[in-house]
Amino acid sequence: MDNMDTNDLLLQSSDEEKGKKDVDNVKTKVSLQDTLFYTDALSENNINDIITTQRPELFVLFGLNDVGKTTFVGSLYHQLRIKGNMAEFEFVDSDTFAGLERRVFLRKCSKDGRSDTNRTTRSENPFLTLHMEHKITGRRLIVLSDRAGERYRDYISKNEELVKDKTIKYANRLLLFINAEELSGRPYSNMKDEFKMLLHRLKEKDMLPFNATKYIIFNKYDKVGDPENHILKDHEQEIINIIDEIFENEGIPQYRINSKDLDQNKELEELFSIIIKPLKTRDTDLALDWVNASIKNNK
Amino acid sequence: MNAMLKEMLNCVLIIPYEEDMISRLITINKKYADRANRQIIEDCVSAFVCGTRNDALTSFFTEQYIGLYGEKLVLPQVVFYILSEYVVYFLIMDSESPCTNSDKMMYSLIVRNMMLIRKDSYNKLLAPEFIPPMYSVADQYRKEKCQMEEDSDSKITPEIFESKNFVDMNFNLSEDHFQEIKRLSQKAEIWDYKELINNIKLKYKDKSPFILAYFSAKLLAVTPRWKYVDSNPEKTLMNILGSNLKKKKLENIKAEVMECDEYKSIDSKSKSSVLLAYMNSTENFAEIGNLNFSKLEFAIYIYYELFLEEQIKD
Repeated sequence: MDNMDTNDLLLQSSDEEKGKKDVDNVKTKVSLQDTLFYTDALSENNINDIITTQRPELFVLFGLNDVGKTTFVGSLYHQLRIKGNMAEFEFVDSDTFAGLERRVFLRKCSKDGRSDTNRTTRSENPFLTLHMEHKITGRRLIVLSDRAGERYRDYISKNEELVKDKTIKYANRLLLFINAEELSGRPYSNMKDEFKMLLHRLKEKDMLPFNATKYIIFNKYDKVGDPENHILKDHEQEIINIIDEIFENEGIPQYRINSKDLDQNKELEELFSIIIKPLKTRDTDLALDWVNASIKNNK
Repeated sequence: MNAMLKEMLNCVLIIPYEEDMISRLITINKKYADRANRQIIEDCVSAFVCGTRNDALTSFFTEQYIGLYGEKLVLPQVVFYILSEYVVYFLIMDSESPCTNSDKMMYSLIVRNMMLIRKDSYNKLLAPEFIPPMYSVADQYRKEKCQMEEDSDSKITPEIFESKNFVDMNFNLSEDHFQEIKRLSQKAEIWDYKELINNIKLKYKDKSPFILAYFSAKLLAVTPRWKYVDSNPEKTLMNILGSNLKKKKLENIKAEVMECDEYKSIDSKSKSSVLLAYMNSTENFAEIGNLNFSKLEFAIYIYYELFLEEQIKD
């Protein structure tokens, strides 16, 4: 059941009904699956169907459960809907409005900050899309992968689950989420070990996107108490060192945010703007212009 | 070649296809490549360069897939563009390609000529890194074909200069003399080509740079009987035209060239002869009218379009 598509879950009939329906039912199911007729989040089986002209940018929100990935997406979507634009890009469409609305629903929380709702489940489809448009550069498509943290937890102990992941390695941007609340408390040691193990296991299997742009996001920073606390600072640095070592890449930018609070939250807005802005595109290969390459060679 | 197609597809896919799927697509690709001809290649190149739907390839893949694997093939349109690119890449570059070197040269020129449409928008290409390796196949072929025949024992010259016929020379023409005759013919053709270059310089010296560019390219591509007399046409055009890089809009170049009394429209057979088609009608490739060309760029594109047209025998 874990690996089922939400389309499967919606289309699934009870056993009794199943018995009554025949081949026509199977045909209907196949045709429904072939057609994206509603806007839930997409799965690995159908995310490629949305590509039209260029490969979209894939953002992978990476982290164990309870680090605020879904809240982050819900807040991003909320801001885009309220403001209509971000970083000079207008939010014009999505293939996954229902999936995004569900993230907003999941980020609802009570006054003590605890979530009122169930969190993203293992069977939830991970892919959400944002069609953005720039006045000069035109349209671009962003695909967000918001997978349940439990799935990442499974990767630590279940090899068969780990090797099924087809997303992380192909990320253009990898957003590494850490629950800042856990940095100064008792669960820190456990959390650090699990996070380190998860990254090591992915590296062992060559499943990390070494060329992706990476961001270290210490989320729920409003809950850390004294941000100058030396234990907190030491633990933050330990996490940064683990990530740097795994990716053999020093200087990955770090962000300290509270993705839940949308009121005058400059840190969060700044991070949203950074990720919405396109990455610097590669320079065009001069060899494609064979005429000028030839002129140059003959000079 | 599985790795190659996988790499190409990964340029457009968010999640890569499984190896099994890649193998299936390769199997169908080989079947499609077996029936390839110039028109099929032109449709493929038009798909991955210009983003034109390749209905023939799409239907073939869809029908073959259901026939071979009993499943309906549903792929995004961009994947068919990549499959089109892969077919061409396979035919030009792969050691298992069923094409002759001459076919490969023509397909390589089709790719080069069609790329004119992307002159100012190379960033719109889906898997661009696989394109430049296909260019060089045409140059390699030219390099082989422009080789002078090796010098052999001279049996025809100098006697022929003082004789009226072979009897006079006491000479029986046979296969033994082929090498020498070929070399003499090549030398004669080179001489004529040099004359042609000098005549072009003289005839068009007072004409505008783009008229000089057009007629230089046309005459150099069409006139020689030995089509590979010039090992480096770009260099020859540079020598005739000089290095002025001032650019002009294509629609203005077209107007200027067409005003010239000597201009006659040229019917083109290949879809990749984009400039020739544009010169013939405002409806053909109207979008390229705003592209800017230097006289040298314009001449090189025209030369290779005409050169390819000369090679097309069907």
